[in-house]
Order: sequence, then C-alpha cells, then structure tokens
Amino acid sequence: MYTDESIVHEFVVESMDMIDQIEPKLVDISNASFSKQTDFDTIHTVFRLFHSMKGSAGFMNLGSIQKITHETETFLDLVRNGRVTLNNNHISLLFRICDLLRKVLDQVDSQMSDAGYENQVDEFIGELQALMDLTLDQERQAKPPAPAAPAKPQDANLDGLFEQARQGYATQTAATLQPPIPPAATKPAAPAKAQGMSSPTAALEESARAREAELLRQIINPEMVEHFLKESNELMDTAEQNLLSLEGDGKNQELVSSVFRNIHSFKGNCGMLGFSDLEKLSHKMETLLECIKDGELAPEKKNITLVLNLLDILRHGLDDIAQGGKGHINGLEALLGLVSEALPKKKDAQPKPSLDRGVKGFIQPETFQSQTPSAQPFVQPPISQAPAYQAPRPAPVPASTPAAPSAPAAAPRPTKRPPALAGPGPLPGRVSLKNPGLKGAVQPAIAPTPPSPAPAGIPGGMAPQGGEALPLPPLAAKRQSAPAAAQPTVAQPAVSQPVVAQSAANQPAVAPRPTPAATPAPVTPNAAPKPAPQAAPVPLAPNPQTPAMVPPAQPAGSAESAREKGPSLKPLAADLIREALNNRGETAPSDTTGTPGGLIRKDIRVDLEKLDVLIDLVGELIIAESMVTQNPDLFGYEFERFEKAAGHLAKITREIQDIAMSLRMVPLSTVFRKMIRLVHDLSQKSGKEVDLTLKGEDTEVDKTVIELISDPLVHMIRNAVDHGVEPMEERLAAGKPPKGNVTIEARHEGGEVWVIVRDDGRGMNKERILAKGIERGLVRGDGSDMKDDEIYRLVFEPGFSTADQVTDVSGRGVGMDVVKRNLERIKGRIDIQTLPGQGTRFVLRIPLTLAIIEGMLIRVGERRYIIPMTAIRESIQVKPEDITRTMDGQEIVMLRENLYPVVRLHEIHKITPIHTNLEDGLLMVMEHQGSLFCLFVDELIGQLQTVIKGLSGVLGMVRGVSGCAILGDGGVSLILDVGSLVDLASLKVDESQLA
Amino acid sequence: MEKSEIRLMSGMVAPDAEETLREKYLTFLLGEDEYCMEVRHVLEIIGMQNITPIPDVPEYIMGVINLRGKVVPLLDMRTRMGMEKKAFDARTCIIVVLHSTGNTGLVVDRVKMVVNISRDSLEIYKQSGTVLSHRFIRGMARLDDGVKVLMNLDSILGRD
Repeated sequence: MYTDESIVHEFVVESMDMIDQIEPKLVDISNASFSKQTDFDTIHTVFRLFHSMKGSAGFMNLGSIQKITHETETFLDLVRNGRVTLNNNHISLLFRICDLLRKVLDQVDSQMSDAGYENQVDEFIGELQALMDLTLDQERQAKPPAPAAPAKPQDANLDGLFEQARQGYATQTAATLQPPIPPAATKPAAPAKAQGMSSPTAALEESARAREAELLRQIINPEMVEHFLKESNELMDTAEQNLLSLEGDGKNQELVSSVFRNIHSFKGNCGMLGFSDLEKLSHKMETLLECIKDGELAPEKKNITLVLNLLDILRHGLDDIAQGGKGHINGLEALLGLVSEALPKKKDAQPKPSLDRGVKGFIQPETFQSQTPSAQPFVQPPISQAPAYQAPRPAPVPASTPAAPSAPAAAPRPTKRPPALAGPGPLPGRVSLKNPGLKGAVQPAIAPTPPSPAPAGIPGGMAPQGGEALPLPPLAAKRQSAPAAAQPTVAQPAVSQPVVAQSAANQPAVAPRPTPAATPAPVTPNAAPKPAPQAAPVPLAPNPQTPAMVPPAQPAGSAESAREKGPSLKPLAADLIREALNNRGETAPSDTTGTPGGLIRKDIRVDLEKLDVLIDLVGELIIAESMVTQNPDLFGYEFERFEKAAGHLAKITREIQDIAMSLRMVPLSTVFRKMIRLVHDLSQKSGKEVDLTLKGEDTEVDKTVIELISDPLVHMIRNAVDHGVEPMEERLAAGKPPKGNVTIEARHEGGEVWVIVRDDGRGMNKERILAKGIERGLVRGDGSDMKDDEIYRLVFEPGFSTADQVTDVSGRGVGMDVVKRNLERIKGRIDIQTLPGQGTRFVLRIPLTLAIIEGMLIRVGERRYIIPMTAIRESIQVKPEDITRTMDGQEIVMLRENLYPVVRLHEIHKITPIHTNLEDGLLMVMEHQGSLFCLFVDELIGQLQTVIKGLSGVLGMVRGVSGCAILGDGGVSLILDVGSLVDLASLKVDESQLA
Repeated sequence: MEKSEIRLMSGMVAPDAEETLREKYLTFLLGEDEYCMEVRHVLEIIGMQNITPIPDVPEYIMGVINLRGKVVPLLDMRTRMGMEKKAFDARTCIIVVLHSTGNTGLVVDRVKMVVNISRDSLEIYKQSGTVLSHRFIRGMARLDDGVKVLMNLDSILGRD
C-alpha cells in the first residue's frame, strides 16, 4: 500500500474529478440515443478517463479500483469498437460503477486502503463480464468463424486486432504476474490449470529469476524506468492531443510534425531501455506519420484514428512496463502489418534512407505480405510440449504454446530469452543487455527453459530463427562497438532490483484479479474470429487468438538488416536522448485525465491552509498599511511625496487583497456538472423526460460555499423533477412542451452570487402547503393573514412535505430543511417565486465569500460589533408612542403597521450602554429566517468589509457571536450571530414568563 | 504538550533549539508567589494591549487582543488561580503561549527571568490529589532562591 498520504489524497481528488467528468459524458451518451457514430469521441473520453484512473490505481496498489476500472475499460473498449451497443442498462451499470468508485475513493482517502470492497467490485465485474459475454456470444453466432484463410488484415479487422492486443495484454499481465507456469500446465486444453499455476519448477525458476534480477540490477534502475514511463506518458498525451486537434485541422503541418517528434522520441527511449516491441511499433508509426507529414498520405480521419489506436496500444505497453513487464505488445506483427497497409506503396517499397535507421527490415512490405496470418501455426500440433519448447525453436513454436495465457506473448520472447538466460555465462557482452533480463525476471513463461537452449542462442545462430531476435543483436553491437554510447546504461546500474521487487509486490494485488482468469475464456474466442478466422478450425479454443496474433517468424532478411542496424543505432541513441530531452522541455505539462481536445491543466492544487494564512496575512497587510498611511504622528503635516507613495502602496495592497480573495474562489461548474447525472437518474426513475440547462457555470464562489451548496442543489432539483415537472400527458394537456426543463443558473447580483433553480412544472400549491402547515400546527389560525411568501417558506420547516406518498426520491420532508440550514451556514438566503402551472424559481442568494463579511459596524457602550449586512433590513429611530410593552415585559415597536419585538444587545451581553431609552438610541430592523426583530444599539458607526476570524477554542462557544474581525484601527470587534440572537431573545421572554 | 505537536504548530522551534530550550523555564509572579513554565511553550512576552471583552465567557477570560492580525484570547492568571483581581500596572505582562487550542495570552503580574532547572531539582507530581497539588500545578522546583511552582498549561487552558 502506498503510504504517502498526500499522494493518495491527490489520487483521490483526481479520480473524483475524473468521475465528475465521466458522469456527464455518460448522460450525453444516453441522451444521444446510443447512436454509435455520434458518440465515439465521448465513449473514447470515458474510456480514457477510466484508463487513467486504472493507471493511477495500479501505481497506488489499489487493487479493487484497478480491477473495476480495468474491467470497465475492457467493456468500454467493446463499446468503442462498436461491438457493444450501449443501452440503458449499460449506462446505469456504469453509473453504479461510478458510485461504487466514489465510495471506495472516499474510503481510500480516509483509510488509505480500498480493502473491504472486494465483494462489491467482484459483483460489478461479474455483471460487466456477463454483459460482455452476452454480446460476444451474440457476435459469435452472428459471425461463425470462417475457415482459415490467408487474408490480409483488412480495415475491418482493425478493431479486432486492437481488441486482441488489449485483451492479450490483460491476459498477459495476469500471466506475467502469476507464478511461473510449469510446462505441464501449458496444455491448451487446460487453461484453468494454467490459471492455477502451482509450480513444481518453482525452485528452478526461482534461481533463474534470482540470477536475472541480479543482472537487471546492474543494468536498469527503477528511476530510469520510472522516468521513461513518465516521459512517455507525457509524449503520448501530447501526441494524442495534437492528433485530436489534427482531426479538426488536417492541414496543420506543425501538428503532424509535433506528433512525429513525440513518437520519434518515444521510440528512441524505448530503444534505449530495450522495450523492443514498443520501439518497433512506434517506429512504424513514425514512418506512417512521416508519410503524412510529407504529404504522401492524407491526414484523413482513417489514418489519424489508426495512429490514435496505436497510441492506445503503446499505452498498454507502458502499463505493462509500469507493472514490471517488458512492454510487450500482442500481435505486434499484425499491427505492424496494418500500418504497412496504410502506407503508400511507393514509400513502402523504397524507404527513405533517413528513415530506415537500421530497423528497415521491419517495414519492408514484403515482410508483412508473407507473414500475414496464415494457417501455419496450426500445423504445429504438439502444442507446448516441453521438448518442442526446447527445440531450436523456429518461430512457429512459440506460437504453438498458446495454452498459457501468456502465450500470445511467447512468439517474440523465446528468441530473446536465450541471451537473457545465457547471460551470466557464455555471453558476457550481452549480459548487459537491458531488456532480456527484465523480461526474463518477470515473465514466467521463460522459466521452464533456462537450462536448455541458452548457449544455442548466440546472436548469429539465433537471428535467423526469429525476426523478433532483432533488437538484441543491434543492442549488443552497440554496446560492443560503442562503449561511450553505452555509458548511460552503465551509469545506472545498482538498483534494478526494486523493479523486480515491485512487480513481485504487485502480484498479490493483481494476481487474484478475476479478470485474467475469466476474460481469456469468454472474450478471446470471440475476439479471434474477426481478425483471424483461421483460428476456428483449431480445436484448442482457449487461445485461438494466439496463432492469429503471432504470425510466423519474420523472414531471415529482417534479421540481416538487424545486424546492419547495430552501428547505425549508435549515433541514433545519442540523438534520441538529446531529442527526448529537448522534447520534454517543449511538452507542456499534460492533462493527466487525458481529455481529448487539447485541454491543458493550468491550475495547481494548493493546501487550503496555506491560502488561509495568505489571506490572513493580506488582511494584516491592509491594516498595517492604514496604520502607516494614517499614522497619528503624521497629522498636521503635509508630505506631498509621502502621500503619493502611500497612495501607490494603498493601490497595490487593494490589488493584492482582491487577488488573494479570489484564490479561494472556485467555479460552480463542478457542482453543476454533478447535477447532470442527478437529473438523468431522476428522470429515469420518475419516467419523466427532463432537460437540464446549465447557465453561468463559470461563476465563482468561495470553496466553502461550493461544499455547502451541493446538497441544497440536489434537494431542490429532486423536488423540481419529482414534484415540479409534471408527467408528459399532463404537460401536453396543459399545452406545454412534452419535455420538462430544469434550469440551474448562477450569476453575480450585487455583492452576492445568485444560484437560481427553475423548473417549468406545475408550481407550488399554496393551498396544499397551507393546509399541511395548519395540520402540522406550524400555522396559527387559518393562515389567511399570511403572505404568500410566508406560506411558501413553510416548506423549509423540518419534516414538512406535502407529498402523500414517500418515494425514494423525495417526500420525507428532509430536503428543503437541509437547503435552509446549509444556506444559513454560508449566510445566504433563499427566495421562492412560483406561478401555478408555470413553474417555480428558487433563488439561493449567497455571499461572495465566507472569508470576508460585508457588515455594519455599530457601538453599544464601549463595545463595537459587526452585523452582517445580509441580516439588516433598515435602521430606525422610534418615537415613544411607537413602543408598547407586553405583559411579560417584552418591548414591541410598531413600524408601518408591523410589530417588531425589541432585543437589547446591552442586556444580552451585559454592557453598560450609553442609551437605555429606546427612543434615544437606534433600532436596527433585522431579519433572520423570515422572522423580524429590532436590535437596540447605541450608535451606528459605518459599513465595512472585513476578514472574518474565528474565536479561539479557549473561548468555546460564545452566544450571539459568530466570530470576530480586526478593525482598521487595530481593535477587535465581534461579529454578531443574528440567528442565535433571536434564540437568546426568545429565551429571555421564556424566562420572564416563568418568573 | 508533545514536542512534535509544537513543531507542527509553529514550525519555528527547530529540533536543535528545542534541545537547548530544555530545562529552561520562564519564571513569573502572581502576587507574592513565583511560578514557572517551560520556555518552549512561550511564544513571546508583550505588554498590556487594548482588550476587547467577550460576553458570555468565564470570568478569567478577559477578552481578546489583536496580536499582529491574529485574534488572541487573554486569560487573567490571577483570576484563574483563584486570587483576587488587581489593577494592571506597568509591569503587568502578557505571556503568549503556544497551545493546541490556539495561541493564548496569559496575563501575569510580572515576568521575572529564564532559569535553568535541572530534572533533579524538579519534583513533578505523579497525580493530582496529593496535599500540595492543585489541578493547575504540575510540580515544584526547588532552587537556591526559593521554591517555584510549575504550571500545568493544559489544565489552565482547558475549560472547566
């Protein structure tokens, strides 16, 4: 478990953000009537978000989150590829997954662990898999696997290939992280056994692994890998963003070049670290991009989508590496073939010299022609029998080891394996190769073979055997011929063990995943038919995809070219490093959420405490400034230059204050966006069609306001949809549009922010509310003397509900009570406007910020108080005839036909006042929650804006006071809490009644 | 109060400084009696300030002051220790102490000095309830120039 709290917190916050982004998208999708075309981008976005979350969760070892996001991702991938058509069930499942994720994230934040949710996660995974199985079953029925045909990969196969690569990846990760598979278990018919994987050869394996780990330690250190991953992800992100922009602006050469550079740098890095599969694929992409750049290929959607998909594959490879793998790509050949297909013929036939950079062999089109899936692998019946395995292994053999879930990966591997294993002994030159060691350490499939073929695998002998051997010789050559170039690798020897250790540590987290166990079976058989129909005749169903994905070896020619590659790689490496470094400078910090559309994060997260300290300091600065510029010592003097400087200082301090205050401000959009999901859910539940309109999302309010306003909004929207908006028939009958509309709008209004929730429903029923109020004893008499507004305000009473039936949406009478209470906490107010038959409008009037109060400074005796402006109606001086006294001693003031009780502040706070007669002092008419009263004070000093400060804990709760503020003269003034004043006043009445 | 807590709150007390602050005590007078408290709790010593009284609080809380933009509550130590009130004079001081409930000012008659008190000369009461103990007193220090009472800040700053 990751123990750094701040990182975990960061992760939680980011993930929550992502979920917040996902949900509106899901609503979009469902609103768009699940039409596939329009939604590709959206689904893609959702997919990416889940993917990013998975990545982070994996990094944190949060197994449950990783599992569920992974499975969701797999599912979304099917959707994205158009193989699953989303329906309401799917969407609601995805929503529930979001909910679950939120819960888990909450727990992660508080307990630093996602333990305890395994069962729920498994349930969801089960559901997802059931859905996928269903789809795939249907698909299989619809498309019975055709007999083997040496078809070239066609565009139609594209998705399938990607799909397979991904799934293969999943399978493979599982496999790589599992204990080694004994050869015996690799019988194709026994995939279950392969999952079981108890290993008799463990000891052997262990020693081999230990040796490799030892080797690794001398070659790559984890920092290197980590850095590589980070940089690569940035490159990917940038490339992706640029590609997406390119979709809109196909002519932009700069964009293409930028993508090209990114991929190029990535390739270079892969080469350095020996992630050969990634290197090859990215190289191929580079070729493709160069064609686009040179205008030989049109930057049309097809090609861009291809590159985007390939980017995804690369990302998968990176994930693999992050988990300790080798960045292996399944079906690499097929993918490479695909790219070749996309290349213009001319280009293919004569690769530009600048391009071939030694890897030329790979991109020879003929290569792919000849190696496109053929039935060849299937001819090898003795699947994965140990002897076959140890044989000099011509390329097909690896392909014939499909039984192990890792089998798809097998093809490229075996050839590389020998050097790795042989490393310690006969081939010291190659021992230092970075890649094989890592792979060997992590990929169990290698284990069974250590003793046998190693010596045979000397480059010369090996290369012809399998094209995949390619990366080795060049690298070896590089090392031998260019010790200087090798230096970077040598420089980072010591600590590669952590990589291995980490992958081992990952095991518990990943191994129990049901995913790998379950997916290969249901998913792969289906995945296969599409791109590789020839898989069908083979009876060994468990991994039919293997043969398809692992075409026979590359022709020997490529191996030759590999040797040529050696020297040419040397200068290249240096180039690449430089380029990679340069590129890093260029790449802006990428949006980790991977949102397409080129969004780049421009914000940073700051500890709220720091902000508060800053705001405090700014407050002090302002006081200090006025203490200097209005220093009593200066009185009576004229300092012209001083005045000028002081004016300048004052201006700057005000600006600083403005900026500092704005730091706490957050746009309301985060809260608003949550409502999209809510309205969607509600309209589903209630069966009413409701559109949600959001306006003024950019309006900013204090962070605390954001936290407190979310709940009230939820309740008001529930009410609007459940009570406000009528069912469709009723609406049509009333001549309204069939779809209801709920609008949330935010805007600045004076010193306040107004959040307006409006529906076009039936409006509030005054009679019914009044009747209910009378019934509940909230109204005295028949309520005929009540103003409309007062009647409507009854809905804010705790437990008040006019609903006859309690639904799970609303009706318990809790909602509006929450609205009221939360608004009081942020010193806001609510206005209700409703028109029968036309709708209701709630206006939440929120002070701009909680850190600052707009107040009236008053004096009682020696004391000064600040009264929040929001509570003040007016201030009056009364005549003796306006004052009456009730029997219990309560003074009442009559003002314009209204009676107000009087609260004497000096009595409550036991102050000696200047005035004791009401007519001598001043009466402030105050409003709190609709009840009005007069506060008796001595004098009104003036209006001011000031920073609110809390009272020290030593003081405890002070009745009638909500905080304090420092005044311009350095004195401290208390801020009155109007609400508790009302309570204190009525308490006094009660006491006097008792007496 | 734990060391770590202090460091966390103030960020001012470096570990080294804390080491040097050990066994150092600030002595002050309340009436005729000499009291002391550990120096590491002391943030600063200031003269009397304008006090804003707070309603509805126990008598020993005199109110709040503005200490460079921070609102700091003031405790009258005389009242807190059950002594009778005395008018402030030029020597009346506020000792601002660090505490988990926030910085708090303690009003004392007079601040004397910082002394070294070794552990040997300090007698910490195991628990309250002994004859000499008072809930605001943690122990006694016997020095050459007399006995000093070690205050228990936690209970002084806690509410009754």
